[in-house]
Formats: sequence, structure tokens, C-alpha cells
Amino acid sequence: MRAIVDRQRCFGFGRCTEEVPEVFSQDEEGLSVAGDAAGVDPQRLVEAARACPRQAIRVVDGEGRDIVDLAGRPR
Amino acid sequence: MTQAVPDMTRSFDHNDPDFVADPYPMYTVMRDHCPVLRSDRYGGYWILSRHEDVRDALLDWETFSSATPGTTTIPTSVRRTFNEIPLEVDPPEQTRYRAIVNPWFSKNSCERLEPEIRRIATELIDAFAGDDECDLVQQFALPLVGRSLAVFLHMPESEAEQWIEWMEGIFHGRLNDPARADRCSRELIHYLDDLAADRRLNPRDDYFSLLANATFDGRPLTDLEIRGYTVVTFTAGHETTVNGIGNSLWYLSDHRDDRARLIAEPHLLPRAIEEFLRFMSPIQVLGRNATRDIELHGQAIHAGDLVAVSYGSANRDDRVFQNPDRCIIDRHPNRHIAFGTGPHACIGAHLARLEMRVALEEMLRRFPDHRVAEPGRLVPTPHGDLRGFWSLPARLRG
Repeated sequence: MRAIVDRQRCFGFGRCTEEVPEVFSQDEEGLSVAGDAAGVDPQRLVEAARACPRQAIRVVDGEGRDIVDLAGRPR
Repeated sequence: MTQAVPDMTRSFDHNDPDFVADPYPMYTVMRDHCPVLRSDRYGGYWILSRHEDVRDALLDWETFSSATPGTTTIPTSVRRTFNEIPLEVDPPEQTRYRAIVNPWFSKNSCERLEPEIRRIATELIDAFAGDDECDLVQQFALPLVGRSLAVFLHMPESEAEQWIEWMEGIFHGRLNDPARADRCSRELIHYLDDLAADRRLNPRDDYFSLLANATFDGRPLTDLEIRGYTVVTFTAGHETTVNGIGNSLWYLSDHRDDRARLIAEPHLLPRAIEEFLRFMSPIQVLGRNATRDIELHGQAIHAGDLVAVSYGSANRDDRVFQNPDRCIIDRHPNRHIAFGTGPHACIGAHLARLEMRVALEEMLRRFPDHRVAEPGRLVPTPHGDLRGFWSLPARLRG
């Protein structure tokens, strides 16, 4: 399971870095980047996606399939 | 659902003085018993009060549209025929409109302004530091936000005095002096139109020049589109942040432990600010227009109906927040929606957070034991859609 941040959508609200600080951080542009999510409870990634005001976070499985829609609802 | 609740709700008015004085008990009743409340006031409107419903409505812009002039304010403040941009346009156009100004409002662009905003805060504090008492809104929050907006737009700070007069006229006049609100609104629009026209001919490095020379779908923005951008920048960027600062200083005056902790552990301040925004949301209620018939919690909302979403209630929802009626300054994570969410999530959030942080840092540093006056001397905002103070007198030293 991993998270992908769409930098065209991200506005730097920082909600994901609050939700899962060990995965999300903000770069020098003030936008979020997603790091390695191995071992992180997938539900926490989903919460980060749900919390994003810009719907900029995708949570995908090992095959690259989205497990939630952009509003954070299960697919 | 009990029978008594819907009977009471037909006459519900979020601007009723008794409700405004303490809306939270009623919001709890609404969330638990009538989460889709129908009021007959203002031509009839619905109110969504649960966090999940408010969030879903904000994300579902196709069903809950803001693309009609005046929809977001109930009752509408000023009669307009132009759309505020990007607030009163929906995707996909909204995405392209917003892209023009996103860089100007980015986190980094705002944070570069910190030294200037700190200078303004210091100058304002210096002016009243020798007094026993000051008005934390009129002498501090209001001019700080006005002058910070000038810095943000790359405009002379001296303009802010006039802006504040117009903003007060527009917001304060809405309920008690509509003629003044209307006059101030017309004067503001005239001023903004003139600035945009000037910057088409004489571009410089400011926000008006950015708009005057921007292209949308390969053509220049029209005069009316530029007006749409600038009007909402002025109206949305004023009273909201003033309220955020005033509410925080009001709370800290009464909660000495929290204040002492923030002074001892200043790194907690950003998190505390998010909690102040949750606990005392500057925007309590915003309107949307239903675009199709839907059913929600057994209520039939029809296309064309006015639907209010309550941030103030959503941010106190015990389905999402533990101890929602306690202000917990290191609450984490904090899923408040004081800045909204979805395509219209507040574009000015980074500027607002910065202004609040600098204001609180400087006030706590200079006056670690300010004391707000007794309740009878405070003037709370009389509207139910915004929450804050118009006047907040305080003793500066305990």
C-alpha cells in the first residue's frame, strides 16, 4: 500500500503531515510529498486522503489500484 | 425524531440573538435530531450540521453549487450580478480560474511576508503599549489584518484605513444598516475597478497587475472577472481573520493554563491555532444552492433550494471529535473544516494562519497576562454566520 500526492492539486494545507507524519512531509515549495508507507496502517493513509481539502492524495495497492476514491470513500 | 424539534425549527434563524449568544446547545440538538433542518426564514433554507454531511456537501460541488452570486451569504448581503471568482464558479472552470492566483496564495509566498507582518504587529502594539487598556480588535486585529492584506497584495499600507471602513460598512451594515452596506460595497467596487484599469495600462509587481494581465483560456480576463477576483479577496480576507485573532485572544485571557503553556512551549502555537479555529470557527455558516433533487436523512431537498452548511456545528460534532466542547490546544490530529474543504477550500488559509500566529506570538510576548474586560463591555459579532468580536477591550497587564 502506498500514497501518491498530486502536486497539481496540493495546496500545502498540511493535513496529511499531521495525520501521518512518518509518511508525508512538505518540501521546499511547501507542497506535500509521500514517502515509504511500508508497515503503516492503510487506514491511516485513507484518513490522510479523507482529510485533504484538495483531494490531492491517492492511496493505491501493490498493483497500483486505488483503494479509495478522491473523497476517501472505499472503492 | 421527536415531534417538538421540527416544530421549533420552522422558525429557526441562525441570526437570532439568543442563538448567536450560544449556538452550540442548539447545534447539538440539530446534529442529533434534525441533521437536515428546514427553516422558513429568508425565503426558506436547509441547514446541514453534521461533520460528515457538511464535508460531503462541500466535496459534492455538482449537487451543492456556489456558482450563483450571493449564494454563500444567508441572507445575501449585497445584490450583485457578477460572480465572485473563484468562489462563485464551479469546476472545471473554477480550477482554471483558481490556478491563475494559486501561486500568489501559496504557503511559501505567504510565509515570505512574515517579517513584514511582524513589523506591522509591533508598530500597532507599540502605539498602545503605554496604555492600561486597549481594544484588541479595533486597535490590533483589524488594522493588522488590513495592513497585512496591503502587504500581501503589494499595495501601500496607507490604503488599509479606507478598506477597513468599507469592510466594516459591508459586514456591520448587513443587518443593521443595509443602505450603508450597499454604499460601501459600491465604493469598494469602484475603487477596485479603477485599480484594475490602471494596472492594465501601467503594470507593476502587484496582485492587481497579475489579474489585469492574466489570460484565461487564451484570452485576457474581462473587467467583470477581475472585479470578481478582487471583491472576494477583500471581503473574504478581512473579518474572518480578524475574528480568528480576536477569538483566540478572548479565549487565552480566560484560560491561564493554556496561555502559560503556549508561552513556555511556543512550538505548540500552530496546533493551538487550528484548535481555536475549530472551537471558535470564524465562519459558522455558508450557503450553497442545490442543483438537483436529493434525499438526505429522510428529508427531500429540491433543485434550487438554498442549503446552509454549518462549519461551526460540524467542528463540534462528537462523531468526529472527542470532547468537542473542550478547547484542547494540542489536539491531534484535528479534522476541523474551518477553512472548508473541496474545490472551494479557503485559498487564503496560509495568510490567515500566518497572521494569527504572528499576532498571538507578539501579543503573548509583550503582554503575557492580558485580561479581557467583563462580558458587558464586549461587542460580539451579532451575525450567526460569522463568529467573533467587533470590540474586545482588555487590560494589557493583568
